[in-house]
Amino acid sequence: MSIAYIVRRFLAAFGVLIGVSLLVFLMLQLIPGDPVYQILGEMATEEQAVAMRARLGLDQPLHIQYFRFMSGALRGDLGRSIVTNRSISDEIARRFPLTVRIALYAVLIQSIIGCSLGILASLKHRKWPDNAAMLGALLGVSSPSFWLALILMLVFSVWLEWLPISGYTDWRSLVLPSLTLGLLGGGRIARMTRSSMLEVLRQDYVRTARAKGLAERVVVFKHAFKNAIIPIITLIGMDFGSLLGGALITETVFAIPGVAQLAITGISRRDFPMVQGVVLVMAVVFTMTNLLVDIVYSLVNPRIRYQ
Amino acid sequence: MNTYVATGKNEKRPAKSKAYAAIVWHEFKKNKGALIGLGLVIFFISIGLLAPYISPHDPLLMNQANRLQPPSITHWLGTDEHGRDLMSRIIHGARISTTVGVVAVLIAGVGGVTLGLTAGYWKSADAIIMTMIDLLMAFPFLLLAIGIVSILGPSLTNTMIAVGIGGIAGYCRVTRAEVLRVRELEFVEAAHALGYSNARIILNHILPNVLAPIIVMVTLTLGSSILGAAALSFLGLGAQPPQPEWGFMLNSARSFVMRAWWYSVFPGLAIMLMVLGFNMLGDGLRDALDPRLKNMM
Amino acid sequence: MRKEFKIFALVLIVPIIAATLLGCTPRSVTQQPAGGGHFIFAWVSDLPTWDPDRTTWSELPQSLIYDGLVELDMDGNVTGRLARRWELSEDGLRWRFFLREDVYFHSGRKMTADAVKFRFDRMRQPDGANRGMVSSIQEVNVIDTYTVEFVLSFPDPTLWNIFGSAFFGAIIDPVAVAELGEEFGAKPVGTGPWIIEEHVSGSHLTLRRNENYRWGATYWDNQGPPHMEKITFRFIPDETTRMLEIAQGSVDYTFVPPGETARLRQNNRVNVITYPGNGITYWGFNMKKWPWTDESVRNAMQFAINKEGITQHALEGLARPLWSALPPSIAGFNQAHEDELRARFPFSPDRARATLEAGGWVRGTDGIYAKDGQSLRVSVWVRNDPLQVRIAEMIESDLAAVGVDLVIEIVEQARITSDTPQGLHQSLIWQYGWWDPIILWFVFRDGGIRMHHVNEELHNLLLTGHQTVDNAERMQIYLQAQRLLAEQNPWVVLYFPEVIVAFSDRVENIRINHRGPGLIVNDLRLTR
Repeated sequence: MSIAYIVRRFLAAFGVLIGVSLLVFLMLQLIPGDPVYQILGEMATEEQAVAMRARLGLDQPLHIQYFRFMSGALRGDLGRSIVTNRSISDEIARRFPLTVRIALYAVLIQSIIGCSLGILASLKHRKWPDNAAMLGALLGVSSPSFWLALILMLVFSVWLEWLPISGYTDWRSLVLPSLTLGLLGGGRIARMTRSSMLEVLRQDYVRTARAKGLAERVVVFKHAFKNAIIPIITLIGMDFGSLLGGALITETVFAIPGVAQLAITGISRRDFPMVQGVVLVMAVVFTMTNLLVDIVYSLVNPRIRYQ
Repeated sequence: MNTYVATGKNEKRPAKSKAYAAIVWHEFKKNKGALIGLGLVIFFISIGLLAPYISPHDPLLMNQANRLQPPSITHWLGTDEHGRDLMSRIIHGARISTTVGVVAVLIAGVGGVTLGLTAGYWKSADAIIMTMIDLLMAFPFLLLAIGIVSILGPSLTNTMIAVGIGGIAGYCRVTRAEVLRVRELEFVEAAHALGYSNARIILNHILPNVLAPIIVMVTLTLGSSILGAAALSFLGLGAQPPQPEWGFMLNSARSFVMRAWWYSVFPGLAIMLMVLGFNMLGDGLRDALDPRLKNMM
Repeated sequence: MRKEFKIFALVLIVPIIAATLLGCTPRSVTQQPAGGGHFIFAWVSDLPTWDPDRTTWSELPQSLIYDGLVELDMDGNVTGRLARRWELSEDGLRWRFFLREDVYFHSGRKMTADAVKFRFDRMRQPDGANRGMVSSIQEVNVIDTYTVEFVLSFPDPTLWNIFGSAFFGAIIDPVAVAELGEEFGAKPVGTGPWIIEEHVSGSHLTLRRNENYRWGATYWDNQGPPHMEKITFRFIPDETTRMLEIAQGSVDYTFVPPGETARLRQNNRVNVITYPGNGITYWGFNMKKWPWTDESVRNAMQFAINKEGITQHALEGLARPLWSALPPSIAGFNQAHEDELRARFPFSPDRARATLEAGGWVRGTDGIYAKDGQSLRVSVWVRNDPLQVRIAEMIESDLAAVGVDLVIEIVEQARITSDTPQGLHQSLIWQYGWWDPIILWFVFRDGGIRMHHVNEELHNLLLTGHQTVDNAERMQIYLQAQRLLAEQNPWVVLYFPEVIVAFSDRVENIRINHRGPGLIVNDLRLTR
């Protein structure tokens, strides 16, 4: 693992992040409307609006606004929310653990479900467990997240009353959101695991292991699965990014005060700094995760180590 | 046009187009799942096309006295909060979803494939294009779509554009990977040697051989585009009322989730089944297009 | 080979450890049914700020940590709160308030006339969000430690609404403002019966009782510290989940949309109360744009909409159709005028069509009316709220029947509030709410920011109404204004809603003052 490789990847990631910040800044500028009238309310006058815009620095030329944002961001200060005047970094820091927890639990659930189903399917290739498992996986991949969320809420919170309905009180509030994302993602993982396992199971060394008379379980786990894992890990890593985005819908439906929700309310309230801050943070997490996965992957797969 | 069957190794096997299609279809038929998928897709597209003729009621006709009725003889799937027949609305919604899927995939496909071909063929463009793609992928899809729709204004058309733009990255990457692989094959070198223009090489030699995974991707992203558009409509950013779009219906259904279970269940079921159809179809196509790829993603 | 296995195990274990560690941060609202004085509101969204000079939206939580000088009781009479008594000069230009001498801020400092002057000076600063409401105040003078006098440039009866608003008229701690500057909006200091204990943005807000409180409004049952120890506002944006929570008794209070009322009424764990709201919902035309310049179109629309249908079905009977510019809950409403308008503009698709045709509109082959080559296709902005959308759909259906094509555009509230002042819309469905007829001044002055209905006669009439002290005279002026609006029709008034709230069964002594103060929290008691 060459240092040069890691450094290059870091620089590339950094470049991407700058690009993302620019992109979101420009995008927000293009969105019609500004937060000023939203704050001032029904009895606002044009002159009040102008005064507030000046106070918020919204009438400055674009490049100055961008520069101010970025110079703060690089120091870790994401500025203040236009609407609440509270520090954005604090806001995000407070909510971030929640979104990440949901994402992590979801990763856990989907890995367990996905890998088990995938392995089962691969072992019973072309027999009914295979078809059943793959049908289940397909259903997971094809379901709309908001629909699944509603149905789970109906079953577990309303009908059975096992879990809280909404809001965040303790770990139990995170079960349904994580389950929703986990079931959806489990489908993806299951399909990938199955195909990876099938590829590996055909290999000679597996046949050898079987011929040697080793117990089936040993063959499957010690030999086959370990080799099948690699693309699965990659997928899990990439999936994390989409989990951060998918948390948006579950956070809305289950009223979890996470980071994704900040972004949505930010856009609808035209709280530009807030949206910029959240998108930047999400992009950082996504890029770093990908970077980590890449590095792990190259550690594990000697073939690309010497690129 | 010369089509070569990709076999995963660095060989080429020329195939006659007609026989090739026949082989693919033969493989395809063997796969039950693929046939079910094809059936579902044909089903939904047909009811969408035939909507005005087969729908039992006018999907826009309100009947306030009849609102939120459970499934009955007159209204097989019940009614919504305005007394409109849910089944008719779902049938007409199939037309909307099909259109949305097709347009979004067209945008993503044309855009992504063009970029991918360019990036794969010309090394100089590669770095720039791939950085842009990385950028696009680092941006949470839903937020990007919300942003685009916020700029352009809420409407179904703009939703299609937003979802399409979000899908470009995937097509670009896949195309580029295939182009990189095919570029090294002998017949491409031969074409160079013969002095063919770049455009001719790309269109006549490279493109046909990268098509297979793209076709598979098309069917799969048809499904995900429909899901993405439904999500945007669910958030109120897509289809505008009174259009009977499935995602929007689920959004309305939210207010009545305990009074009218049918309102929450059936539109969501429709989305799921249609997407399922595309996914099964996609799987089947992939398996059929290259038997050896059957066990790989 | 074992390396890969280890890595996989890591992939699974790291998330578990990370999640557990992250989860160890304290900070959750205990969801115990909170016996012995912990009241829980299911609220919709978080407050933008606690600073009364930085926002024009006022909601219940913000008024609980502050007091105003006075308060209007259920009949509209002025009663004392921070002020014991008051005197107005003959000409109505000098208002003198004699303050209580036993009031303390939460910081421990005493409230004096200086604090009152400070606040009202601050309110009139160029960047004060509510400047417009106190434009009549010329200066504020401290007479002695507990006496303050306001000098007005014209007699302004609407000032009672500000002095009587615990939030907009809040007396804030000047020392705290000096120390905190803009941070005051996050760390406010007032004199009110409640003190902020914990505010977790986006999640919940908890207030605790101010044990030193003695200066409640004189018409309240309880002028001392609140009966309850704590209040929590849980922010639950999703309506369905709010309804589930109140039905199950895990919250004590919430607003209820009309559709859920019937079901909640059948639930014994819940008490449902309705009272008239103080606003109206209307379909407003952007008078600067086609086709609203055409009088026949505006008049035709008055016949086209089935208001009864909207209130019966979309609002489940919990609203009433309205024709006047003011609802019954705001002074200035005149029943005779309302009856007259109702008779003049009944729901009649036939008359709607006839009015259009009389104006030169001809029905095209597609069923839509057209004139001078343009089809009568108009767009309406409606905010992203299920009820508003439902109403828009019903209007669309009504209009389709009279040959008008309505294109619904669901637009986020922020865009509506910022783009309608620039006149970018063609029409919109919107509301207003206030407890004094001066609201018409705010809606229509210089045309107004929603409808851009520039009309000198109306503007002047409303201006005079703002400045007339004699009540009878004032009401006459507003009647004239309403009549004028009924001629000009820059909108279609739709309905005025009832406010529906649901309480859990352990809450007692529920007193609601419809005139702005709303729920009198100080009088609430919990039985368990």
